[in-house]
Amino acid sequence: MLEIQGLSIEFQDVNPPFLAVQDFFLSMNSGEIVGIVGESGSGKTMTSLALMGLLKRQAKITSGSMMFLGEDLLSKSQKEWQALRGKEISMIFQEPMTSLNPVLTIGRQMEESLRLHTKMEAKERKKKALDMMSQVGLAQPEKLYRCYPHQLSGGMRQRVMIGSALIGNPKLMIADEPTTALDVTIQAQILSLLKKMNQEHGTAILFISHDLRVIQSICSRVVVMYQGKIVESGPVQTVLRSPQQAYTKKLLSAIPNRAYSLRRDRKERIESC
Amino acid sequence: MLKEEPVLEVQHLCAGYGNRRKYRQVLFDVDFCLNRGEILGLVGESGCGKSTLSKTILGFVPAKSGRVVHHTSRPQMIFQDPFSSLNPGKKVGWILEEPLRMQKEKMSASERKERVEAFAERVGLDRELLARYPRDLSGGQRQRVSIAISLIQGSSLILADEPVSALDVTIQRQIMELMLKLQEELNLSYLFISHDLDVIYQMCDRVMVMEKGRIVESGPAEQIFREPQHPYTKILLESSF
Amino acid sequence: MRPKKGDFKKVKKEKNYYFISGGILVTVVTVFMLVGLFYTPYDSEAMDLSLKFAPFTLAHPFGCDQFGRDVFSRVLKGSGTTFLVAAGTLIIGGGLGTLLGLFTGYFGGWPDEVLMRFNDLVVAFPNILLALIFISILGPGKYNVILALGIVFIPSFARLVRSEVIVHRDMDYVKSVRLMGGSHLRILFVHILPNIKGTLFSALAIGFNNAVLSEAGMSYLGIGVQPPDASIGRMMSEAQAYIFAAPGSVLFPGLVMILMVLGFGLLSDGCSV
Repeated sequence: MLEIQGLSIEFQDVNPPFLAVQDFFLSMNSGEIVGIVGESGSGKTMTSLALMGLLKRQAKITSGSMMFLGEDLLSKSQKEWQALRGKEISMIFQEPMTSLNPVLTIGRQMEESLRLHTKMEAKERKKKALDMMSQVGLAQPEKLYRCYPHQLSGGMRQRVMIGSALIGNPKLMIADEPTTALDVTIQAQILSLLKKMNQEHGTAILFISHDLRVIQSICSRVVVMYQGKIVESGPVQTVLRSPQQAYTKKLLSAIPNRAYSLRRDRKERIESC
Repeated sequence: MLKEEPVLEVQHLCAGYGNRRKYRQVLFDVDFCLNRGEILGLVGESGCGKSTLSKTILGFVPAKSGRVVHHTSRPQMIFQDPFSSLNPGKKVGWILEEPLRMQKEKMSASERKERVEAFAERVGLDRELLARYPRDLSGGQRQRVSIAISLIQGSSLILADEPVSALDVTIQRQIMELMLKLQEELNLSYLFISHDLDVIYQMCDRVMVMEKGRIVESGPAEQIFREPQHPYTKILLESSF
Repeated sequence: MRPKKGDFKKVKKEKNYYFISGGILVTVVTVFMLVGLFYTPYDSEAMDLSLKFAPFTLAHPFGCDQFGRDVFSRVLKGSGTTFLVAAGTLIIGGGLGTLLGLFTGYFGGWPDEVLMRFNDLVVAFPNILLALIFISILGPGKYNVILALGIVFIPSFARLVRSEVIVHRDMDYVKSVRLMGGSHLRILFVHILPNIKGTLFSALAIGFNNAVLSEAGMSYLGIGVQPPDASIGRMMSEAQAYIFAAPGSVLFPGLVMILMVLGFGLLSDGCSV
């Protein structure tokens, strides 16, 4: 469904030009959940912005191709992009506080993509929005429909974001660190919601995160990025169980986990000396 | 094992924000004690009162009732956001010298510089970074500066409020290792606050779990993580991977 | 995703052309004025009716006015006076305003509340009108103009500094200094003030312009600097009836004022870049 080949993105407003993404490859089938993992500055967000056609003017795609559903994304005009965004590809962001418009009601924002891409009647739209709200696990959709974002908690806002991203039934959803700002209990809920929506709607998800723990729990395949380049990619289990590259190993060993304790290991080492 | 010598005692502490007419209490009867050389973890979700507790201990938020007693020179703090915890308009070296300028016994400029360089080396900061502004430093480097600021004042009690939450995992690991190394060398005591259970497990001797301003469970790290008693602790542990 | 923090040399520092050109203009005008305060080729108040409306000559490069006074000397002297008034206004208004803003912004509480309400009151009147009221109480004259304009300028500076201080007040680095045992005064003057100096300088440059224009306006209305003292506004007011007979006596004071305002305007832009 999605085929990215040899994508390179360069910042041209600095001297010398800064290569943010270099020679990026990715192919995704419909209904698949693929993760991109990397630390800040690894180019993972740049890649996703390029996929949405939202790169800033200073960032130029210098080589490569992006094919989506058999169409070349790079040759698209602004107008064609607008027709695509929200309808075929949608995106959710890390910060549910700033990615919703504070002065519009939840209902209005849920419907936005229907307004832009379909000729539905107001009543029909509302029905669809309410339906989607209950699907993403928002209780009392009728009441929430008239609420404003600031009246909702972080987890609820992220549910609204997911709902409004999925309402137009896109083929691909890009999720850029969707759970990073959330508490662990909420994070677990949002991840299982994403999995559920993926199964029910067949929407492919490109999941971007710095947290391998999250990637592991939701993705089937993973791409590890470091300084703009892919260092390793493959099925999640293979990459995590037997990483081939030094960087992946370093990344994996740095993840805090409960298999051992840094503190007590050090203490034992000191005492045994 | 640890000698039980308390450096920080918090007794039946209640605190909150607002004035007499509109008061929102955040902490309810918080009671614990931190021993010398111990790393005590405080875990809880956002809004549970973790940060308020550290602010109350440092005196930024007045206590409504209860007491905070510390048996050391002024406790220090490492902040979460390394972007706002350093004065953006001053060079790193200047910032590190600032606590020395405020000390009672006056130091000459060259003594201060020497002292700062020694501590910079101790926390793994390149000497050339001292002539830079905080904006030129990476998150990890800034956090090292924050740690050096606390150490330079000679305090043995350090409150660390989410010190690694804003960092990438590999940097996170470096800062955690550094904090542990310094703890061993200087016999420091940390109150280590985090929302990340795994970080808490790796760093702490004892753990307290906070929910809605109350400490619902506390005990040795192994015990809390292996056999959680309180339902809230169980939920927390189940939700993380 | 910019060049990684910690790599220093990559981003080229651009030359601040606003600051440079503004600085040159201001320096030229300032030197001109300072000279005028101490030396003029002729006595700026000496009348010589034989030279009435004398054209531009080598001896009188800007010509002579309706009383036969040398316009060049008067422009020198007058712009000196104008500079003095503007600088005095800034010292009173900018100085006191900054102090007030620092303290009320940092400590808050009822003094802050009182100041802000007073501010609203002052802002509700046009500057010139307020200055007029003060002048009618104090009486006209150079030093009273400084005092009146200075007082009128206090609130704008106080408000600006206050809002900047509030941003910094709650940042962690201020807490960090408290933990070192730093006093409130040290925090205010050593830590916070240098951080807002860019904004403050920019406001001072604009304030200088406003003071120049206000003085000119007041003198033009006859309530500012009193004859025989020269000031730019005064000269233009006196010369307007003879604008065709002696164009120099309107043109050159106007030109100096334009250069002054332009220079400080550019400087202000340069500060805020």
